[in-house]
Amino acid sequence: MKQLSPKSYETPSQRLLDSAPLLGCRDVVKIFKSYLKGGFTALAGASISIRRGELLALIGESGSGKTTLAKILAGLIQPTSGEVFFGDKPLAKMGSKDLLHFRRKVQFVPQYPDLALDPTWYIYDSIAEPLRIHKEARTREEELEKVRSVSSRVGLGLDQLRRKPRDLSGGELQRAVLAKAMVLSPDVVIADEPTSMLDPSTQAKIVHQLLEAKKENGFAVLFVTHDLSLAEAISNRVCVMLGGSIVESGAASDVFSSPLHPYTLSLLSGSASGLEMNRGTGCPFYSQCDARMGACSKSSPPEFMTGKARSVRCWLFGQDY
Amino acid sequence: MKRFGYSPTGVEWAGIALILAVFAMTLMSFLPGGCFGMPSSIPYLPPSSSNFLGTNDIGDDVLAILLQGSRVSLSIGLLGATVSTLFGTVIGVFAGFMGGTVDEALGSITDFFLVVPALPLMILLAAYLGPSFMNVVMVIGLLWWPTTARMVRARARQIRGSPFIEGLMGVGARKPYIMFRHVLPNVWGIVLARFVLAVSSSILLEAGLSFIGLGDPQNPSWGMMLHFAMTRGALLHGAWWTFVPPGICISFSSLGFILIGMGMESRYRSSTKSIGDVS
Amino acid sequence: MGKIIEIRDLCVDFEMQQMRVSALNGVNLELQRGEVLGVLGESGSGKTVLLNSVFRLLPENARSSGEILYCGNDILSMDRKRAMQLIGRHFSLIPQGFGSLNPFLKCWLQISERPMEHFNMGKEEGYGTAVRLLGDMGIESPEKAARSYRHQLSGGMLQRALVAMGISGKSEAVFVDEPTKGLDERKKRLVIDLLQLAKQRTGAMMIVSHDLCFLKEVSDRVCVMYCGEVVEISKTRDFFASPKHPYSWALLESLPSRGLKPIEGENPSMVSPPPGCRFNPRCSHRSVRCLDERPPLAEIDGFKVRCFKYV
Repeated sequence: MKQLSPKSYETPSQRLLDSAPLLGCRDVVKIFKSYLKGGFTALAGASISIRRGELLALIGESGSGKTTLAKILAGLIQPTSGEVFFGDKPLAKMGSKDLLHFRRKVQFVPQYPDLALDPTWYIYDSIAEPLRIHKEARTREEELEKVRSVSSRVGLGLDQLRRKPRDLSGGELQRAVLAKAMVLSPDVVIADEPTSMLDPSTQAKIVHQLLEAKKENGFAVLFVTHDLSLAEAISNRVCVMLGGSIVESGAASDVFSSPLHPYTLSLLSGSASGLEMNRGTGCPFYSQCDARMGACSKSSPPEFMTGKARSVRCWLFGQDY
Repeated sequence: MKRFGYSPTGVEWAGIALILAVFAMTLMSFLPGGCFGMPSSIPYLPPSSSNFLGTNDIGDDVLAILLQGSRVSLSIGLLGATVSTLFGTVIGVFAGFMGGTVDEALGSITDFFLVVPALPLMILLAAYLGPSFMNVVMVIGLLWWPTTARMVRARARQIRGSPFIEGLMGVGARKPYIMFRHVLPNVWGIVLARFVLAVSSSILLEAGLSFIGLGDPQNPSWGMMLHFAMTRGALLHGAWWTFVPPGICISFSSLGFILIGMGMESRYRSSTKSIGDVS
Repeated sequence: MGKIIEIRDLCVDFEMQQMRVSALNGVNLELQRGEVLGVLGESGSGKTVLLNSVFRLLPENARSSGEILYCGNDILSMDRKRAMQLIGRHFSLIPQGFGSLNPFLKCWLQISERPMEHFNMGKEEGYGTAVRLLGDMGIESPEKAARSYRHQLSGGMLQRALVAMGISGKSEAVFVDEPTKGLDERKKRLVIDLLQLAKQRTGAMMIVSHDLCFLKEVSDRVCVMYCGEVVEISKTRDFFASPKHPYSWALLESLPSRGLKPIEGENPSMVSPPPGCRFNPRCSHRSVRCLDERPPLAEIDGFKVRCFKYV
């Protein structure tokens, strides 16, 4: 490999990868208690970190635990074990003042836009509500100014602000939800499949508005999705989730051009079959993997670093590193 | 009605008409005495041009008493319903929104009141507390809140599980704030419908209590009229005009409230279908 | 190739409190024997209304005109009882989502419900049919699945049960409503496989969807709907290679794999749709003529398109 001087090596995206994580979690396990089936392990030791200003795509199928992880990162549910940190402070040890700061700086956009706003409230009030809770706007005028600027950024007019959720289309609702998330000028926006219920052209529009707002305000986005082509089109960095843990992560260009984990490979080549995932011990992909070995069924592989900011959870990469 | 974004169906119109009739009766009862018929010295006078509904056992004009009675029935109905709905809503919202131990504790209290046989308890309480207007209201309020609490709780739980509450938690809203500003407005429809239904039940309960002689004799209600007709021999006299009119009044006024309440409930249900779809 | 269903000038309006919402405006469409027709449209394009009108499932406030012909009989104007019998005997529906399975009925009862209702199939035979179908769909223990309730089955199994429901009896056409809404790639793959299986057992299939990539894989012909009108009907291969109508073109461009370019403007309101071509406010090829004249559905070299560019 050609030796590069440190200066020229440092492309903007590289600087991004080097910066300290803004929000993240380490070895998070979440077991949902259920009286009938004993318990359901949604997350089995997932670690992820979001850096300032990046767009991190979290790819996974339904049931892979990606929504649970997103909610844990947003502080909406408590992990069974493991820790979530914001900046350098763990969430569990935060005082109420720090926690309020965290709530202001990390915003969550849920999947179903039609249920994400109070049906009895006007759109304007819903968008202004975070400002009121955090007492960010001193006067009515200031509040109006802020709400208007954030709504116009996502393409909502005054006319829509005066209505109630049931009078808006899905796309408009999702825009209102985005505006609500952005009104406090957050550092991180966690979007849980924000466009999966929308039409293709509406999806394109919402994604564009999100990207534009991100460029303007510089917040980081964790974009949870099951749509590979969408993730490829917009993300800087990618985490692939399977069976409650992150099996591969790295810069988007690397992961999409040269996937390492057999699961990512099968996703990208579109050869994923309809078979169910392995829920027992060992690698979750064991039952379908073409490259399975003896070790795969016995224990689930740890995270192997295969390069700078590139990791994979597969025994295939265990020997070399 | 259009202005309120509300156009009643035929059934609701019937309910509204009945309720308006009851209110009209109450208003008429405030007219100076003697407008409808003078007390006569002859008991059990059949309906005539001087006494439209005849006279009762002590020669009083039945129509005048009937109008007077509407005041009592209506005010006890409204007050009893207010007490029970208020109680039920507070407990239901708390239990449903807080969940966990609070829910379980309040839930068992609610269940306890639900399984207690209402009528015997009511008779016992009314007899023990003595016949007075406020006591009847309290007894009704005490017995009618559990069903309201259950329904409000179920709805509050549903709302609690919907993403917008989760979003609010994520923004850092406090629980009391969410409860008052978001959960309460969303259960409002059901509370209103329950209130209207509770009015009708209160009217019926009051009639029942008065009929068995546990009402306030100072303020004769429709139930009390039936009670007097029963105990003072109007039935033996065949003086139907003393007991048929209050009976009709009781059933029609409660029917009016029931019709409206049911209409409101179904309207409410259809308007909130989408929230029920939360997976 | 014969036509199974021919829709002629179908217009459906909904009467709301003070206004009239036009959901379908002069739809002409036919379903040929042996083909898979994909009806592509975004929400509000009227594709679900189209499906509902074929099944006579329109709500009471709908006013429809035009014809839906099956073997020369108009389903729309037919006596309701006869229509239901005809629809039940000849068409079947694969509904959208698992919500359409009754949670209190065992799976096989719902799979064989249509043949039991319309073809005098006995209970024994119905159960046998359901088990056989589930087995064909690739369920390992079909007897167990057939005797299960909705909540006992996994998502993949339910998906199979839904498709089995659609092909349990003889039918000339299967209609599929939004089969991939909210599903991930793996489940989509499964649906594609299942529908291909279903296709072999029926005369024709009509799939209503907004998922372009999905229709690309399963359908033979694509019919694009916009704002209650059919704007383009093409062979699937031609459509994805070179869409004709500006809307189709813009829709393809809005896919993430093709650049994620949003279409300018908003979906028009159905209460007062724009005069002339309904796509004109958002169209980049707009001419003066588009503003007040409605373009006809012109037929050119095997495709039909509603745009003045081709007239």
